[in-house]
Order: sequence, then C-alpha cells, then structure tokens
Amino acid sequence: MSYFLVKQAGFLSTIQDLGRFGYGDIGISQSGAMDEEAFLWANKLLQNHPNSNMLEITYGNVELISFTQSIFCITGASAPLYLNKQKINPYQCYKIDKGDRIKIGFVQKGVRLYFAIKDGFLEAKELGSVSVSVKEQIKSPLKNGDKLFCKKSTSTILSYLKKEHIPKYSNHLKARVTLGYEYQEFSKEALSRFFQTNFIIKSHNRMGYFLSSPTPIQSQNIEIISNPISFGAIQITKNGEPIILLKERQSIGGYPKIGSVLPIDCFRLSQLKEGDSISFEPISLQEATKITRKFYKSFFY
Amino acid sequence: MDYEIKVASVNTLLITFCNSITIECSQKVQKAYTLFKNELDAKEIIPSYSSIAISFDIVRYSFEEIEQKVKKLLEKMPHIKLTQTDTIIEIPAFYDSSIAPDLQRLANIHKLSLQELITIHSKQLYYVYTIGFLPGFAYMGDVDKKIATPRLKTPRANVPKGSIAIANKQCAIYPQNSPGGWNIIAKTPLELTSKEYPNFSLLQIGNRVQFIPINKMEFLKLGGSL
Repeated sequence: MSYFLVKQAGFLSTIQDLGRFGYGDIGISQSGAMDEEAFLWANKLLQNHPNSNMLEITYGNVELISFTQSIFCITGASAPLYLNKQKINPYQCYKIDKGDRIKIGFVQKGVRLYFAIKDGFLEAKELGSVSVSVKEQIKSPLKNGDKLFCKKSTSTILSYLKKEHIPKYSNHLKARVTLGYEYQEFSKEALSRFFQTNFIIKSHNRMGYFLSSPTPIQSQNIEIISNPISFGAIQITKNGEPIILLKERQSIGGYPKIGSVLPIDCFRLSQLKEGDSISFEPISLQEATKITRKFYKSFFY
Repeated sequence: MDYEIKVASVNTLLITFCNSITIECSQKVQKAYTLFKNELDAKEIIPSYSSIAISFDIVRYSFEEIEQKVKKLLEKMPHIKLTQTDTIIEIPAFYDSSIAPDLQRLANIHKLSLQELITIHSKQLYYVYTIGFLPGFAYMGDVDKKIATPRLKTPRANVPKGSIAIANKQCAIYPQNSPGGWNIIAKTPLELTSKEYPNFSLLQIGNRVQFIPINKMEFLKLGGSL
C-alpha cells in the first residue's frame, strides 16, 4: 500500500482537478481548483499531465506522513513549509520517502495552497471528475486519519520556479472584465460607478466572492429570467452588491450580470481574503482572448 | 429561427431564443440543446428557460468561429423533432403541516381549506422548464394562480431535503438540505438525484410531473423522514 496519512486535515482541504463538465443540464457545478494558475504550475513542475489531481488546502494547517516514495511540489498561497522540520520552498519539487513528514503552517499571504505529487492521487471519479464539490456533497473534504492513496514514483525531476516568476499575491486586485450580455440592464451611470468603485471583500467560499459596496449598484430590473452563469460572472444582488461567481457557482441564476472577470484574474481573486479590496476595469473580447490563450497555451502545449 | 448571440465571458457565448417562461420557448431550447450536444465540440453546454450558454476551448477556437458553427447548426432547427414521451413522472407527496411549514399559511392567504389547496396543487400536471440552483433542482410550472405565492422575504437557512415548494408560478423539490426562500407545502420521500438513475437526476428538462398525495404511513413506508 502506497499512501500519505493525513495527520492534520486543516480547515478545508479537498482533492481537485480541473473540474467536471457535461452535466450542465442537471445543475451540477464545474467545481475544480479555484486557483488554476497555482494548480497548473504544480503539475508543470512535476511534469504531470495538466489535469493531474492534487490537494487544494484552504488557509493551511495540514500535516501529512508519507508511506510511499515520490516527488511533491507545493504552490499557491504563502505559508511556512517543512519537510521533516527542514524549511522548504514553494514552487519547488522535492523527493519524499517512507516516514517523511510534510507540515504546512497557517497561510500568511493568499488563501489557497496546492499540494501535488507525481501523477496525482489514486482517486475514484464521480460524474467524470475527482473534484470535491462541497456545496453539492460530491465526494468529501479531507478528515484527520484519511489515507491519500497513490502510486510510488522513483522520478528524480527536481524542477523549481525562479523566485521572480512566482505569482505574488497582494491585498488588492484590479480585475479585468469582459462586458456581458446583460450589461444593458445597467444605466451608463451605474456602469461608470461600478468601474470607479473600490469594493471590499465581505466573505468568500468556493462558490464565489461576496463584495460590499459603499453605494449600491442599481440595475433597471432587480430580477430577470434565469440565465446560465459563466465562470467569473459578476452578479448584482437585490441589495446592489456584487458577487463574483467561481467554481461551485450554481448553473443558472436570475440576478442581472454586468459581465465576467477574466479567468486568470479569477484565479488571482481566489487568493484574496476578507477585508481585501478589488476594483474593476473593462477589457475588450480580443484582448481577453489574447491573454487567456497565452495563459493556457503555456501549460497545455 | 429567431435568436440572439451575445458574449457571456471570454470563452462562453449565450444564445437567447425567446423572452418568456413558456413551454414553446422551452422546447426551442431543448431542440437546440440536443443539436449542440450532438454536433458541437464544446466544453460545457448549459440550457436555461430561454437561453443556452456554450463554453468552448479558447486555445483551439475563437468566439467568432464558435458563433459561426452555432449559426450553421441552428439552420437545422426546423428539421429537429423533439422525441415527445407521454411518460408522466409521479412524485409521492405528503402534504402535512408537520413537515410543510408554509402549508397552512398559504391556505389562509388564499382563503382555501387545506384539502382545497392540496387538490389544486396536486391535480396540475407540471412541466420541467429547466434545472439549476442545485443538482436535480427542477423548476416546474405552472402553479395554478389560485395558490401561486411569492417567495419568502427572508430565505430559510435550511430547507430539508425532499421539500416540495412553490414560488409564484413555479414549483420545485429541494434535492438536498439547503438554504431556500420558496414556500414549503409538502415533502417527498423520493431521492431527486442518485448514481443509480440513468442521468443522475430523476427529473430532466421537458418531463411532465404529477404529485400524488400520500398519507403519513405511506410516506414513512417509502423511506420519508419527519
């Protein structure tokens, strides 16, 4: 048996890949890693398939004991990281043997960390993906005492990302937005105010980020016929406050949407915490396509 | 064929077919959904009451390319026939105040006896317009205007799994415990989602649903919990 024993599961740790698709007509959300940038870096450094699964750790405080031989890599939020009490670096691959212990402390900057091993964990797929969906109760979060089964690996790849290329997370995000099909529900004045406001993050979870606004953003109609919700969609609630819908968003919804945050900015957003701030700027479809393509090409091709 | 194509996000386009919650509109959506599912290379296709969102691989395709493919496919719409089934899905429903906190209140608001309310609700044949909010949460209609009631002002933190509820002209069953603001008038012992079901969700878009009133003993025998 080859596995990692979970000594400390942390606040919310879940197995994720890039999500489940094909069930949009029965309301099953995409789920998958919140920060695809950190996720894809981990797989790239380990020379894994880009969709190899890994552990998404929220706020840190995880301890694992190895009962296997492999290589691993930790990306995403900053936290104190130890391999057998030796400090180790994020975005760097390390060998791990039977008896070795990994300790991930409490997150200091950012929110979500990713712990990946060579070729991912041996996990059963449910509805096409190994991703845990907390809201829909598909598979479940990690508990103390769980065993993460895996294949042994004698790989000696020890790549790392140079410090200057490691994504840095701050307390503010300027998110780029493609205007969506419902933006005409908002007056010119409301749109202009939206793009000039500095919003504060009230709360967040895998469904999305809930923002508070100094003055409410008004739409002409508070509710409209429910339409499908794309990743990064910015919905304005009846209180005039924005919600940015992310991986566990519901498939359809009836609040008007201004547009969608660029995917790469959604990944950066998932590293912001309560009290941090976010502002928005519009971006053309062409510019958005260029940036998004470049991002995915660098990991998939 | 009347439709509009707009941007939802960098890799998602939205096709809107109509502007209302009607069976005719829903059937247009279903036809197009079948067409896209069979013939379009898309990452995800999500239908709603009157529109469909298509998410595509942004590296392999451009928005314009997918838009062109969609337009071409939609030319086939007049030739698509929906396989109309006469199957009615029966949902056993226990109408009782012990598990339906809004049952009596709705009877009072609409000046009906409990039995009248139950009869009006259960004699209707409902149509599944779309599924969303939660896996298997089917938005059904139309609720008779004699009992149609707006949502609660403040949603409940927890609506028990199996609760049958109405909001204006729509009716739905909560497939799992969840926050919710609809008016709860009954409960079903049936599972709305299961790995055993061929399509995971008991209900699919286009289904017709009939609620069959059952008593407490039948409810418990079918696995219902109070």
